[in-house]
Amino acid sequence: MEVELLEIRDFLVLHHPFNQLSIDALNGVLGDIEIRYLRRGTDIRQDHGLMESLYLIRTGAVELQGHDGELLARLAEGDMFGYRASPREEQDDIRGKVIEDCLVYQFPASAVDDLCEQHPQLDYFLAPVGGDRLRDAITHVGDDSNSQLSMMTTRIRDLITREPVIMPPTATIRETAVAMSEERVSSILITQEEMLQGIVTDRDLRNRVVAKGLDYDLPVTEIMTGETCTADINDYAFEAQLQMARQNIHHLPVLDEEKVAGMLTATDLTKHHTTSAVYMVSDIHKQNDIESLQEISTKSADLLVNLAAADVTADSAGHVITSVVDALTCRLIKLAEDQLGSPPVPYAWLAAGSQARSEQTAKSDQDNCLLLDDSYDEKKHGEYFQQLARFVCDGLDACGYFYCPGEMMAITDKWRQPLHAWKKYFSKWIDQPEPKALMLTCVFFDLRCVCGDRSLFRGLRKYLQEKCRGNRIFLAHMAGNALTHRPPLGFFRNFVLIHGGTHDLTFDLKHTGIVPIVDLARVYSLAAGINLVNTQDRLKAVAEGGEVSEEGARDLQDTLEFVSFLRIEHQARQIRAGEDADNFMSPKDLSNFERNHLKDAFSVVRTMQNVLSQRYKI
Amino acid sequence: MSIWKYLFNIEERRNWWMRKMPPSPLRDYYEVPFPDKEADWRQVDYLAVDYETTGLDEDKDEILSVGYTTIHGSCMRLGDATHILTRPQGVIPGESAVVHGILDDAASSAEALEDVLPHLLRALAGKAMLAHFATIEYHFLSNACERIYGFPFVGPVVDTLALEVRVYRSQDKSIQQGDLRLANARTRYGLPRYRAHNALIDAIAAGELFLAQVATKMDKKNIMLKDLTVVS
Amino acid sequence: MDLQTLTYIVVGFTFTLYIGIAIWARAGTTSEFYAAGRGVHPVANGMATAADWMSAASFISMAGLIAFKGYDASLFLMGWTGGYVLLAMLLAPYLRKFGKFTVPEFIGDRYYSQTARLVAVICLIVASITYVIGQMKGIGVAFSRFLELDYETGLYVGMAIVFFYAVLGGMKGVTYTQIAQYCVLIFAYTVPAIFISMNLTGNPIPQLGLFSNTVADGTPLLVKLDQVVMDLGFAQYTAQKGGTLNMVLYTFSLMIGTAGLPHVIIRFFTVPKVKDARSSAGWALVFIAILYTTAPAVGSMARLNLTNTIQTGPVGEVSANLEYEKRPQWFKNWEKTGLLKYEDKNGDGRIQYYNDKNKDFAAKAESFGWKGNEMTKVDRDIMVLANPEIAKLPNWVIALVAAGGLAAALSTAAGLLLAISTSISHDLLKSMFMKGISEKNELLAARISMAGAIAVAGYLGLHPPGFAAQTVALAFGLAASSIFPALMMGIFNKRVNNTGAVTGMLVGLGSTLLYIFTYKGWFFLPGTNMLPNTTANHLFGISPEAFGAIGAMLNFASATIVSKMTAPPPEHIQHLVEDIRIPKGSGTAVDH
Repeated sequence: MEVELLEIRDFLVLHHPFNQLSIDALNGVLGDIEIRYLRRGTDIRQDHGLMESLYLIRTGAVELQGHDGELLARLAEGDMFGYRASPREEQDDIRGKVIEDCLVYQFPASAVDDLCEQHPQLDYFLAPVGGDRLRDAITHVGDDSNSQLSMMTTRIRDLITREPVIMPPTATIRETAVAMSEERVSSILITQEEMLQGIVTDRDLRNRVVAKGLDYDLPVTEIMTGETCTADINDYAFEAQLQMARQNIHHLPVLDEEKVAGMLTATDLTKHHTTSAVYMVSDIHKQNDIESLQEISTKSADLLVNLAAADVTADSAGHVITSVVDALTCRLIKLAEDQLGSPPVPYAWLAAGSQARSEQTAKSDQDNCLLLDDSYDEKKHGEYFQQLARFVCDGLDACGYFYCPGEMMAITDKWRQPLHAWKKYFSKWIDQPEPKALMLTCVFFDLRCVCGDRSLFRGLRKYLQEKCRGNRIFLAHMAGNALTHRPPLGFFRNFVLIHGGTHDLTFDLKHTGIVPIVDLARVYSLAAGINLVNTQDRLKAVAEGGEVSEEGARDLQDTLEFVSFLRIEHQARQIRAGEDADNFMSPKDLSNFERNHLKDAFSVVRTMQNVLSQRYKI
Repeated sequence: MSIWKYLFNIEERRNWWMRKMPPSPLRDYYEVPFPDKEADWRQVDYLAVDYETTGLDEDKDEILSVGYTTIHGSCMRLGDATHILTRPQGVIPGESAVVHGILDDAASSAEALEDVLPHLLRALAGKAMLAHFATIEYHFLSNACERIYGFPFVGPVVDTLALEVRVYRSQDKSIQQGDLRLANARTRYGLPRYRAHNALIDAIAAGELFLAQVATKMDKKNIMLKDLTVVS
Repeated sequence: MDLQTLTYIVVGFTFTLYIGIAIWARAGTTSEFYAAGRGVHPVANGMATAADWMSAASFISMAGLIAFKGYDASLFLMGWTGGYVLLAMLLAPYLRKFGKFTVPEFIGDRYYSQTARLVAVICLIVASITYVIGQMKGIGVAFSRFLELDYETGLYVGMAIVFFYAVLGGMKGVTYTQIAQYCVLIFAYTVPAIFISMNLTGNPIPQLGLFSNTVADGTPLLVKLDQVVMDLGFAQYTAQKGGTLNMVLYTFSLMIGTAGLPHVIIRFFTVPKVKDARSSAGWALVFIAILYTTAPAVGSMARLNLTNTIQTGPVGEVSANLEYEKRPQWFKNWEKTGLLKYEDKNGDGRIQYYNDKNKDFAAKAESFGWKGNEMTKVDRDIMVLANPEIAKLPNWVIALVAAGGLAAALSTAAGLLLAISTSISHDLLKSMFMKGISEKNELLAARISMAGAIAVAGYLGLHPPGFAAQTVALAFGLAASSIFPALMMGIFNKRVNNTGAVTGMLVGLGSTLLYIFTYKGWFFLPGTNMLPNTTANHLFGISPEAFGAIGAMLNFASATIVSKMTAPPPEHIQHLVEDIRIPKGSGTAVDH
């Protein structure tokens, strides 16, 4: 090779095991090098295949994480990892994460093998089995808040590794068991035309078939669990983990929209680490009285600060923070049921507004409602649910999620109704979209079942979807409503600030920054008949459906992320300073660069609003 | 010439020259289509190039050495690294010898530019040329081609210096004296410091800088070749 | 203070008022999120609808038309009022139940065909642009007088202002701005009428004044008017001059054409409650009626005043004709715009204004030493604006009328241009031809098409195919022949399918356009007409403006025949059509 590559050879010479090689041999090695630049945050396993090459770090730093997500090593200049250089027994689970921009020299696996063959010195060091020698170099690092959050940022989609193993409902128990053993799975999904019918696990075979001496030729539907919890493919991993912990189950079918997309098992999840939020949530589920719940929930402010410090995306921060309210709500409902006895008719506790969208940041008001089965009889069951709602809402209020000033809570009689009454509400709002109805629609169209009978909720959602799709008059009113919140940008691209009062010379990040985007996304997804509630998910989905251009949706997603991120940082700053978190930001707190970026962001929103107003001729 | 450039993009000029030109290494170069400027930057092959010259005036000064290596799929291959000395017609001025360390006797045993150029053109075929302050590389090459083959050189060019200027602009920073020098730019991306002024190592240095620049840009959106080029 | 300054002040004040209200209303809605949303009262909404409805054609042209055409012009009153009722009662409630916001959407879904939708969009664009031409004419007149420029320059200025007004959103959708506009409009229209009526008849209510006796000599106003105009060789004012068939068809064209115009229909959907929408429509009718019933009085009295100003005494007496040098200020002002022209044909320095086309009277005029009508141009569209000046009303009244005329022309033009530009950018580009277009480009496309529409309408405004009201009538005729039958059949005849509907629309629009172009010139370009536009040449005496009704009949017929010959619409469409007509309110929708 070229002698002119001295600079690179000189680097190799300084590092074991290359210092064992002759100059000629080194010159040969140089030709196999591929130089790559890895940006901070790159996940090497995903991007480049950690085990397909041997990496030598020229500059920068990389973190290796083990299968439980624990930190295995921090590697810096001159360190190697990857093919034949990482602890063997857990190779498949090792993740490499770039924590500082890196220049790496990369040797393809085949080249490494060749080199080892030629040079015994390398072969010794890069032994194909037994990675003890690296152990010396690897220092185990203790818990670190940054690395804990990958569960928060990992979506279930990324954890599903294989197609679901499925069986039609017509199959017999025997066929099912054979399929399970052939596929080496501990559970199987019973589906019909991709719709989930039920689930059968090893335990079911044991308890319901063998123990009871059931005929193996009976249809599998005899033993399957029909009504089962499911997770959505877009949920975050920790949400699934919470659900499993709460229900004491180990298998969770994953749905994409309504269709079966895969199966998530407890083992899939334990490979990913637990986090402070998850601890907090599981703590919540251990408490038996409001006082201790109240105590735990005081920590949620710290959670926000931690999330802000850990640089997680605003989207996942929203999910994490919302999961705490969800947990609190569920626990309170459980406590209420313990106190009041089991519910006389099925019901679903629904979160509305930002909790439903999983977009909470600092503590906010509670928006919720109660959906009851149609068999509900006011005279017989009214008392029970009134007390249940009172208990839960009071509990939430005590924990810092204060009563909603608009009384959109389950304690309000109006918002504690059976399914048919809810349908009537929505039907009226949609047919007669008065301002008041539109305001309610904005809150109650973002609905998520936190606890209770999900099928009840699905019924309502389906009704809504059919009622709205293609109803352009209603959509036009929604669009008009979405335009009432305008970004704080003046005619000359100047910030329009609040004058006077406690928030002098600030602008409202929530109502003028985030709400306009949330409203836009809601109109788009209603028009496209999409069921999602999270704004980022909605935007992604509507771009695929063609309701908004790819470019427009991406701009809005970026804008939402940026503005939300600013809000989280702002609130974290306030909490650290011992103040109450609010949404009012002064442009003075921003750097010149951030200011310009924010103006760009706002003008994106303005453009999208203008287009909406044009389309619906408002 | 400038109107000519205005009216025709390089792909059209390539076709034009190709048809007009007698067989030559330059024509072979033109036979291969340029990379698609709408292609994702990772789909494009680049040739990181650097020369040592007797000075900066492309009309008077001469190329002393050429160094280059390829970048393929966001990855720079040292296996393709090449460094060739060329034999100048004139004498190497003392002040430039201090910089690049190429002395007359070393140079006199080297090949003539006519013999070196075909290697370089072969390596460049179908690739985008990449250099730091690429105007120099581009004009020296174009001049040499015009002198030897009678036709100029065109091709897509990526200039890491121009990219760096864009970074400054986008962040609204003012550019200080020396900020754009290759070594200083590299420092900002945490790239190692090389002893400068060997054509090949400078080419590699520019290539690494390029990889760092695009990696930093990458979280924005899909970058296309045309987003990076100065000539296309 | 002189008239010019006062006019600027009043116009400036009214526009500041509109903008102020728009800003106030916008700021108001953000403040109280949880406050129970107050709906707009039906009366207020009715006013807003009336403001939408009243265009330059209603405000500026209608009275002018009545002034010169007399009784025949009443068909505009009947046609438009009838059309409004038809729309409010027959179409809007059903379209609303269908849940579609615009006519092309309804047609596209009802006839399950993108082609049908495309044809509907094109029909609407053609009709709307023709409608804008009428507005442009009005804008040109208003601006030329307001800025004391000639008509052409006034139109250019107007075009620029309309463009900015429309790009800035035209204060659209803000109900309170519309209400303010209505108030200014109706005030500007009725106040001069009251003054003039007082002067002429002593009755402050113009509608009654029209049928009262004149103060001057006690003869009934209309009798006096008949007498005055007939003395000068003009046709009797209160007689019907056109053919009855033509009148009936003309009225029908206006009526059913109203139904298809996009900016009017939307008003019925922006009211959240069906009940409120109905009562708003009722109130709007009342508010529209105020203007429409005043128009005949304004027209007749203006004609009387104009004639009396020029012909000050008995016909034939030399001193009874106004000396040109002594002509009033308003005469000079309108001369500047080029819309009023005088030529001293017999060189006596006096103005003779009479009908020289009337052979009998022309002979008599010869004997007076008159050598033809010396008022070579009296544009009918100037009548409403000139009226208060002719009647020597105070300056502030004149300024107010200018403000009203501008408001009427600008708001309707801006509304229509927005509808046109959205049709092009969204209905044509985004939904059909360029599905992946980015939002920025969608906005840009809308602006470009708006500028294009203004340019086309402006050019045709310079060479108008008729008076503002007649141009508008053409637009209605086009809408009548293409859109209305498709809508009606869509609602009331489930057997009509996509092929039938598309054929019908094309036949209707095509035949009407052909008929219009034959007499008015291809694409309204002057000089390209194949037959002179006179009653004698018209087919059965049907004027081009009235042909819309015939086009509609052809549309109905061809659609029905073609549908009969082709496969019926799919099952679910037929159910849908049946569902629309079932009265609303039964709880069936809730319990699925």
